[in-house]
Amino acid sequence: MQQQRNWGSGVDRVGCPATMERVAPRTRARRARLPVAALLSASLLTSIACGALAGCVGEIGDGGAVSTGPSPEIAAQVAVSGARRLSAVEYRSAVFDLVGVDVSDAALVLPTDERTPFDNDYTKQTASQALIDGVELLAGEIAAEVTSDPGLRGAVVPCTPQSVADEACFREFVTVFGRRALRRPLGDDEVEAFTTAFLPHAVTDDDFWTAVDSALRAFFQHPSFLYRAEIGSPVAGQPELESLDDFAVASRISFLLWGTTPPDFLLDAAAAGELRDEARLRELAELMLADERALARLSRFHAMWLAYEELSAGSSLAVDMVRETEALLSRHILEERLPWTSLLRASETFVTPALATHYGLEAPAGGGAAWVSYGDSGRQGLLSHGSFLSAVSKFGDTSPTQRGLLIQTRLFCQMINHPPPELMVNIDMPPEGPDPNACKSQRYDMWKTDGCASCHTLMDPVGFGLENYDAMGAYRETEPNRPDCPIEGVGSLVGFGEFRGPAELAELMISAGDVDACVARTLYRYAVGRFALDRHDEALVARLVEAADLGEGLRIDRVISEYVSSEPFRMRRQEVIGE
Amino acid sequence: MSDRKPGADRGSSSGPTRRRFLRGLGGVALALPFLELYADKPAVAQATTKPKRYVFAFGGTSLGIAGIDRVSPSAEGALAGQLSRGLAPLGTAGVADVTSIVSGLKIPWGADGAIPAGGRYVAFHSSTPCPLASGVRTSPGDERLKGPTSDWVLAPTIAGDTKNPVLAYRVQAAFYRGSNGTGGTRGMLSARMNGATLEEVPPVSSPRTAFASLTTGFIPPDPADAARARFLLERRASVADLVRGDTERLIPKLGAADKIRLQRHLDELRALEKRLEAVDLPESCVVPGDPGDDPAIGGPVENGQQGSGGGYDSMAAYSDEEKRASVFVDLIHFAMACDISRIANLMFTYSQCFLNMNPIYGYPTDLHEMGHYSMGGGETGANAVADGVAWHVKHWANLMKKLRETEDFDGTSMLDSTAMILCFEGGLGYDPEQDQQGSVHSSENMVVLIGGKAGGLHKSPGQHIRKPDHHPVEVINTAMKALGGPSQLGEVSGTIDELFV
Repeated sequence: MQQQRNWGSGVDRVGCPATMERVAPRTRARRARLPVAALLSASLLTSIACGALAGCVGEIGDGGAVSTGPSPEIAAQVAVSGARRLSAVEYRSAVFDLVGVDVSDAALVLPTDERTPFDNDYTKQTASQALIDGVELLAGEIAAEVTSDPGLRGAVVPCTPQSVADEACFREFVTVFGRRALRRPLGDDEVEAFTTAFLPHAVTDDDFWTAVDSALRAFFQHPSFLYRAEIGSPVAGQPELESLDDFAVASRISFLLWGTTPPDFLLDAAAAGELRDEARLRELAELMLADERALARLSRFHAMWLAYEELSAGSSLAVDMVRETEALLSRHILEERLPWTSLLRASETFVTPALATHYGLEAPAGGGAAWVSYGDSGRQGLLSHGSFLSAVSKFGDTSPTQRGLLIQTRLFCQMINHPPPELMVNIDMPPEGPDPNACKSQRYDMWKTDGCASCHTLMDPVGFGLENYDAMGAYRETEPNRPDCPIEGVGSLVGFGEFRGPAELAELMISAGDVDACVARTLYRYAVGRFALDRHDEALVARLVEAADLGEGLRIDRVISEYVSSEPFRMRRQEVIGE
Repeated sequence: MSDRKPGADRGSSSGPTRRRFLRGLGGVALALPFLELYADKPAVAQATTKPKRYVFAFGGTSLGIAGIDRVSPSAEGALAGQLSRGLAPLGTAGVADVTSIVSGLKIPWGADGAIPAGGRYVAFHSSTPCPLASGVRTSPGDERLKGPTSDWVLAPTIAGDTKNPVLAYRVQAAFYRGSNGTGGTRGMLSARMNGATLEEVPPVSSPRTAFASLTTGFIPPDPADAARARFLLERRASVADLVRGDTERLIPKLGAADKIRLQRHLDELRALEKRLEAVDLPESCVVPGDPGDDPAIGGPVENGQQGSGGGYDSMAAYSDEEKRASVFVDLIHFAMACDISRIANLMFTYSQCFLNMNPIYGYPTDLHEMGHYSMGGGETGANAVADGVAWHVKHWANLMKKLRETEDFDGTSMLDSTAMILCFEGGLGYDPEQDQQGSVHSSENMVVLIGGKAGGLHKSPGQHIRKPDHHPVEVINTAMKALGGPSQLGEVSGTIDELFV
């Protein structure tokens, strides 16, 4: 674990524990974070006052009033939600934001999150001894890190203990930190339970911080920290629906946009009842999109979606490629607010000199990374990025099938199954055809036979149109070690025509018109934490696509804003066992 | 307020913080073999009756290439004189006399709707682990276990009141393909019944977590250390108690599906509370050295990137599984020697294993690809595959050696009351998917290794026994029978009674 301490004092100007806004590790470091005050409206600043908490303490979901039912149209858009355990990445971010300790080994200690393709699919999560033991181990280490460091513990505990068993200070710590850790106010009984259980540890050990250590261990193992288990109030006339409490809505927003626990200002907005106001929700979403954590979240979403998540673990060139794509996302999605498909049409790219050379582009001046024009290189946008082009490969080279599969399934949301066993295809062996020494395009002709062609027609021609770009995205004119095999580089997208290279493929894809809906559906899957969508999900996705496309193409920021401010976002549908 | 340095002696699960601990010991203790840790010390077990112990281990590989098998001995009879390349580590560890190999085994197959009892679907990967580990036929396109595995089936019979009824560990840290995640359900090879519900049990793949968990609850003999350890344990127990209580109060407020999810979490919390019960460290039971931080996870390597300049030239697809295997073997031995657990499910590698063999044997390829000629065919390829098998055999044999050299509480060897199984994903023979003979994608001519002397096993020295077309689970049934358990696993009944001769 590593500590990050570059945040401000633990107490803000109104005497409450400050939101622990600080420079996050790794991906968060490139852009300066907006100061907390810039994120808060004047009304919010006033609501931060400690007293604002007092009126909203209570048990979540216990006997909430029955809310008025939504219209049938809205009710049909309310999605199922299940208890979601924080992914290892979310866990690491949440711990860092809460106590300033970077649990860099969380992904090693906690059970691996299964990708579908995202790491937050709650339908794939299973509690296990591996989870419980890992969480207990990490909780002990986090608590020890915090309580042994005066800077860290001073930021976590909002008061100075006056004695070993300073009950008032301990209760204040439990109340204030508990709301942040469990993402909801603690009830009086919960504060009492923490105090009764752990304050005696301070007395026994003659050390106030021993009790804090015990409490931190409990918070970081608590089901309300580890899981996002949403509990709502009944909805009149809709027994299968629940209206979420404001703190659950705050968590939904924060994990969707930042991938971490809600900051204080969001919890305060929840406490003030502001998260029932659509305009306020749009405003908050906008503010959070301006934060560097939104870029980190957006980048991670794309990396898992387009299968280049593992690329950053590779060479320095691979790191440059990830930065290139992140820069494009930042400029087009967050800064210029362009439609998602503009990523496919970008005429400039952000490259280091090494990456420019790799691509055959003119290196940027000055020795550092900068935006350069693609010129007439034939490259254009995301499809010509090394990140995308290196995402899938097979048999030691590019795989036209795998590239085609990636585009069809991830960017057109098509379902293409594995070959059925009756075809007796060994997918572990490269295609050979009648002549194993033939050039690649000829060897792939074996997939044009009956039975194989129905699927491979959708994939292989797409990949062959990108064959001039090798498995790391460099341009080539012949097959590897086969100068006698020139690459034609012509592909086709069934039903839309032929193309040559990323630029022409991008235009065909955009003209096909299905990409936007797939982008929205994929983003929605990430938001709800499951792959399978039902008719309620599809109804909401259709609404989001319509609302986020104002004739210029679908904008991700609009999808998010529409989703976060929608009435279905503040509701949930009971999950039916077995569905 | 105390004037002690804040946080002093306030530690992680095993006393001082991990970082301090490592600084203090430099991680050297790991290198100490357990035999030395127990040298000149009496028996360890605290049980009032002699415990029985069981190890189920699995390797995700087949046995040869193009019909050439360098794992199965050529002749039946005594094993010691005919250790193949794949079985050579049995000789190195000196356990060939207490190990037998049963060959010629077969998992039957069938198409959708025609899969026989204990059988597999015609597509090979990963259709054998389910019938192999649970004795229940698999389903097309579904790699999940369909029945409880032998480790959990035996638990009611032999686990007793141990803190860990079953240790489920996985050595291979990641799938090493695609997103490098769990590989779906392939990463799990242990399943149990919870009431009427079948639960797959995700294994612990972090040696550090496994170490911390196993050493939980021990109170060292030194009075000062003991007081400190006892206090820390009490605090951890009170934390677990509060968390468990809050989980119990949360569950009734949830919908039906979430109730099931959190109930499972609650069950695991209750198991943690049991592990947090204090146990005075027996004089003879020495807590091993901290294994330190887990080795970093290696990245994925895509199919075919072996050879010069490919991903396997680097340390990709490798997370120091050599160390991980050694640590898990040491921890299983420790757990059994100190009677923390009597049953282990040790999944060495995933089925269709993409573990990089370069750091282990200098083969710039993965285990799976070796079966597909990546190191050549004929004798060369078959030897490479046998080496891959031997890597599993080596660690399995080392565990057996450690158990053999550890005295049980009655003065006998611990291996006398232990049965161990090592099985592999495939054999070598007909591949119904490709309609091909001599294929690595085959569940014909499979082998299962069985070790130990529990219940009358290996009255005679280890044997090579051919049982053509018998199901591999019959060997597992034999081990269960030797331990006083049932003679049937899932849909497969029958035992190999020659092993009791």
